[in-house]
Amino acid sequence: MSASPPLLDVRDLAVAFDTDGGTVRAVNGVSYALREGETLGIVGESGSGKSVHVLAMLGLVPRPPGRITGGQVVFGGRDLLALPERSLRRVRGAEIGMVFQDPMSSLNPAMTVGAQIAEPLRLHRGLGAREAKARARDLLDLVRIPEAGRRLDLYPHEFSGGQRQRVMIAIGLACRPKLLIADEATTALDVTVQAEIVALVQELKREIGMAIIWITHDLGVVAGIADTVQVMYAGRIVERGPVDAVFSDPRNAYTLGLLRSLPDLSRGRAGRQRLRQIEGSPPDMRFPPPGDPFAPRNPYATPRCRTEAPPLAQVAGSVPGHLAAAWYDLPALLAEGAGR
Amino acid sequence: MRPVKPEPLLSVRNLGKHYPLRHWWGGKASVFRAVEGVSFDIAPGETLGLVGESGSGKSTIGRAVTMLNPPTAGTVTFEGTDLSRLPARDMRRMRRRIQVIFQDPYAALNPRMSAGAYVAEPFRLHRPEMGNAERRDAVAALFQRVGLDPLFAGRYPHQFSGGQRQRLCIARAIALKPSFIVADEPIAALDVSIQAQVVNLLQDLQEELGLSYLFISHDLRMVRYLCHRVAVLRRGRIVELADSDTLYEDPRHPYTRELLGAVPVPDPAAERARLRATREAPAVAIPEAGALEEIAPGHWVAQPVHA
Repeated sequence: MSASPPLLDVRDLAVAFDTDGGTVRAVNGVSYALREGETLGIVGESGSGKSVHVLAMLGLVPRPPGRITGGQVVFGGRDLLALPERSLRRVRGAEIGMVFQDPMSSLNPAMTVGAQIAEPLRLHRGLGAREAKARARDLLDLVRIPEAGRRLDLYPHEFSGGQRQRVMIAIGLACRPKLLIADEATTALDVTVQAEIVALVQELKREIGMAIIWITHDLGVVAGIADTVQVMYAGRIVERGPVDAVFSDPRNAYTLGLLRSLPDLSRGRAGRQRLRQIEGSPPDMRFPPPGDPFAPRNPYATPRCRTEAPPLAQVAGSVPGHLAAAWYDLPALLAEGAGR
Repeated sequence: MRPVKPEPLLSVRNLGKHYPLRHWWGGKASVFRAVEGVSFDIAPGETLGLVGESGSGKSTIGRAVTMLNPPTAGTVTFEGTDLSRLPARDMRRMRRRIQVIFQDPYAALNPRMSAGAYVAEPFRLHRPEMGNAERRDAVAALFQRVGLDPLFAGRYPHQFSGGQRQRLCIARAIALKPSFIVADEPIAALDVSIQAQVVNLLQDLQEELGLSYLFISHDLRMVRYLCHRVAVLRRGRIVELADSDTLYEDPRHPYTRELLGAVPVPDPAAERARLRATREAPAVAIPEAGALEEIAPGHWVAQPVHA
């Protein structure tokens, strides 16, 4: 890959929450880099740290109970974790745009949509009211909301769920950020609306060229839009690499389990097999199991998995940049027919 | 309307749920038709899937056929009895045979009731003659049946994971040996790695107990996997109804096509090709749904209504 420094460089990020029941180590040493214009899909279930690590790097984890216990997040030559809140506020919204799951609770119900899109422009770009409103109209156009000029003066409840998410994307893109972070941005939407939003984001990416971090639990969405996919479990990255390599040749048993547990849309009822489920539940992060946190649910686990956490390392026999955390050799085990 | 081979367990005809709308300053009253003219059968041991966008009336139908929110029109015949005309007392007895599983197991559970007491409650209400020991044994057997350790009976809902809570709800639902369960988005709130567990459990219980399901879901992959037949809903009406292989392989209604065409495929090359194809495909106008016509045996498609 190129020699230029990455757009975002996350190094050994760790986040903990202090609760009555003990300390939850929600993120445990997460490191990765994102190139300019790259789309990274992050997959994981609740408690995997996929959302929390992003909130932490934007300074959005409430303290207390949250604590950043280590690491650096280098963006545009600065460590975001070392910035004072005032400077961080200039990064959020201006250089990094954000879109969250529920547009209704992210939008202000008492403020017109136009004013909400204009807000980051006035705040970060110092535009006057008239200029900001004109830009807001352009942005509503950009996210394909018809009759943008008229609808600027409407309130969020006058928009449908999909349109509200389009408004959120317009706000996220208002200042032409270099990075757009979408956290389960289409999870609450109908599948047809999700398809529209995914298509929209892809078009905008072609027009604007920003990098994207797309956090989701839907492997299908990631397959279509991501260059790189990163699978997280129990606060760690367990596998990461070019999307084609990871989907066709998974090396971590959790990745394999996720891919195999999905029913095949093209397979008829005749001759279908029982769904291959992952046994057990995600770990209680107050008391994570020793070693590889997935070991108790992993049919391929070796004794070493139960005592020592495997490092995330380049996979032998796959493309450069395909990394996995596993003590076992998954392709060899699958060839032997082990673990079902 | 629909000729069926075995006697259906549940037979819904022209189901409607209308809400009167009246403007607050007293304008002319109108009616919002949340569900209109919906008919289907469910055979013993069969799973019927109900899919469609949010607001299409899926959950309304689920609540109407169980009389939790009774319909305003049509009939719901269950095991030969029209539920919509049943007196409340008889309906209470009928509830042993019909159960519901909801999306959010945490909201369905009582936070101050232990898991064991929660699963035992149907026995207390409907089988008061049961002794304590007998009830304890029955609850332990149910725990085991849904894959929970009976030793967890003394725990409270917050001590369980999401998947375990849904197992508790399922244990309670099967306690009185029902013949029919409405499962309203039962896996939507669960982690991906847990969804397959719950679907497998539902399927095992169906085989073991001969249950019929009305499976309401927006997960089109899981619906194809689990359901024998599928009804597609749009704006309160069925637009297409067929056995699941036919519906997924040969969808006829433009809305069914749009819905199925929007499902992402977890295979990068195939999914990129699908996105490209969708980008280039022209948008198809979807007509309002009229009466269903049987275009092939068991394959019903709504005919367009031209205004």
